[in-house]
Amino acid sequence: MNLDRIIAVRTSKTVFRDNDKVIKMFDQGYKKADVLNEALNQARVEETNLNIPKILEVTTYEKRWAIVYNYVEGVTLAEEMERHPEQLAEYLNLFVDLQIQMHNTKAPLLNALRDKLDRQIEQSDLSATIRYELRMRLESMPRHSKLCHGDFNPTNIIINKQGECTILDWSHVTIGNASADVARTYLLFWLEGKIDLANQYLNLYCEKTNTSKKYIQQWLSIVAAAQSIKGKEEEREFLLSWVNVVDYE
Amino acid sequence: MKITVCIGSSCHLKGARQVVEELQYLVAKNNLKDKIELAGTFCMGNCQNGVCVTMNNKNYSLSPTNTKTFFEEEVLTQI
Repeated sequence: MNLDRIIAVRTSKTVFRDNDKVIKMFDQGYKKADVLNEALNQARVEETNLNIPKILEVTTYEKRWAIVYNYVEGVTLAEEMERHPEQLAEYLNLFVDLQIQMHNTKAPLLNALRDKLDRQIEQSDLSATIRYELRMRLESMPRHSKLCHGDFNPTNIIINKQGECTILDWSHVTIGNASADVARTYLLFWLEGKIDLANQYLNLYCEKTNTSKKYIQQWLSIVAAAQSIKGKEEEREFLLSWVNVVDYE
Repeated sequence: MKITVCIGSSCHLKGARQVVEELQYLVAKNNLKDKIELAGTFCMGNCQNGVCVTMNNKNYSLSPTNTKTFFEEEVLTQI
């Protein structure tokens, strides 16, 4: 395993390229169950017709877990959007079409998004009253079984010279209501400070799928509360502000 | 707080991998995973000296040997 060439860095993981392979190396504190779950989730999605990297191996290296994938040639859609702002509308269109295609894909053996959101809300620092309200709201939302990426954003899409797209990072994939996945993407744009892009994205998605914006917005408080349990402190404050603007009725 | 390490080829030759590993280790050891976000980026155009690192819009030039000092003197004092 050649770990010379780093292609991405996160707080708890490093991604290396070794010729035609990509090695995602987790730090020593990473739970084995989380690594294996990520690999299993991705393997389930590999069985669909979506274009995603294939897992070649799950292994350990110097007491660290690693997942080995095939390398996908191309650049991220985020880089393309940055480099060619004049083509932003075209890229956003591609992005939304890809997400809709993904939502229409069946992968019934994956975990339910509803269960994950419920668990995350319960683990959040919110008061018992707000947690209860959010869980009731979640319970009342329609039950679907759409494939939800959970971190669908332009940095997780690779586009090659032929314009073909590959969707990366399936560690948060579940099945559930697509509007929750859309609310998550909307929040991700916000967290990046790209508010105009977030609104353009939401408008386009709603237009293409004939979905009411208000319906997506109903998911925002639930998704923000669930996301608030994760790492970054400054994001947590922002996400909780989304939860608090909800008008509980 | 976000710390971004250059992972371009020039910084790679200067030890970017060791700098990344040391920072990951120090963040975990100091229980700062919810306060510090590590990220990588390609060439930041400031690679004349050591491995280019940015934090709070300020550029630093690191090597595997001074990463710990950088962490103690710059990172821990700004959290």
